Amino acid sequence: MTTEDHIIQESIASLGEINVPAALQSRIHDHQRHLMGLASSLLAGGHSRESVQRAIEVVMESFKHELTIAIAALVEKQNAQ
Amino acid sequence: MLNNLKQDEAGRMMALHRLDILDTQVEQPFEKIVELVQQVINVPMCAVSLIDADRQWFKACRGLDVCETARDVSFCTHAIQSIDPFIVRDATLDPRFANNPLVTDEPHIRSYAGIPLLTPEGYVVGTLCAIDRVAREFPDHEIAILSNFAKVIVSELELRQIASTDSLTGALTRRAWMERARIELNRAWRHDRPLSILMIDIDRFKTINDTLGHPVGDLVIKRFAELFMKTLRNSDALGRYGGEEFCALLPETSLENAGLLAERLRVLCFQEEISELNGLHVSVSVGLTSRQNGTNDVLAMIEEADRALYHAKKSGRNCCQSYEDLSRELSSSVA
Repeated sequence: MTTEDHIIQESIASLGEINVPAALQSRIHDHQRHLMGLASSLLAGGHSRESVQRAIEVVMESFKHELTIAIAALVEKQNAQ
Repeated sequence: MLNNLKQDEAGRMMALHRLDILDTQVEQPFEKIVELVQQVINVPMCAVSLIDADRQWFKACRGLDVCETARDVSFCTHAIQSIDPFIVRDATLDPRFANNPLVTDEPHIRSYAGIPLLTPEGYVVGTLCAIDRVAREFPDHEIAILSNFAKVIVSELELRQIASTDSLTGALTRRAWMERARIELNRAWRHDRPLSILMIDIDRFKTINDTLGHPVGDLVIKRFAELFMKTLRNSDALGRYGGEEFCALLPETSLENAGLLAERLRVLCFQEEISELNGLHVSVSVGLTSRQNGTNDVLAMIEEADRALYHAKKSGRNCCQSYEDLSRELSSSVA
């Protein structure tokens, strides 16, 4: 496993507590791919593992925020139907 | 590589408006990403810039004192012409920017790297940009980092779009529409500009569902929503207010023009051929109102439009009714 794999796995694990609907699963995969690209480019740019970890955590936190809102909206739409 | 869709400005504007992000409030998640980009690339200024019809608006920014600038002086408007990174190493040596007020005056931009924010449909709605006050290179690894941050931002914008879009019709959800209506009404109130609201309801919809089935009912809703979206302007906002009820927000639109539009939509709906309806023509009723007496109360306007809609239904359906005409009629009958 590469350094970026480790970082992403640790970061993405924080999503484990969220029950993500099937309709949003592909978004998680896309985001994971983008995070991997970001981690790789930061490491390639000479940033330390710790700073990359911190950066990924910030981005992940932001994504989690949007994801939670999207899930709430999907649930609301389903309930309205 | 050139962006194949770059000439399709109308489509680009629709993609931008579908994101429903313009003029929204400062949000920490975007601010934190921009702060991070600023630190990683080591620039004094950084922004998520969205290119509207005549301005660039910053969803998040660091080191800039304004939340928008005119589009014609923005570097980002050049950056959205392609899907490739747009880099200016020294603006004072570039004839396109040497006399630009953002270069000659505050904030004294000297170098710029803008990464297009490319939506899945292929439209560039804005950029993630890093800006410096000194001439500099943006080496490949920095461009790679910026590009990956840009992908992250687009992926968050997409999530936001899922949350705010009705899955059947592509119109805004009721909640998202209300939010947009509050923003637009406040703007109209601040600048004392006209604004109108339409409430549109499909007539005898229950009968369609009961006799032809829910899939046909859904098809009618979808087709009418498409028709509405095709007819409304990019700056208008269509929302699905309830099952078969839509609401349209019309900034910069007087009551008279809203009435003309309502009538046009009514006629278009009635003329729409939907083969699954076996020759049946479905109509809509429309209630409308305009911003009056300096109001900035969205709920009050919705109630007015709803009352007008109720009256249109009572008057036989397949017609448009303005709240203003209705209240005039009511007051004259009382007098």
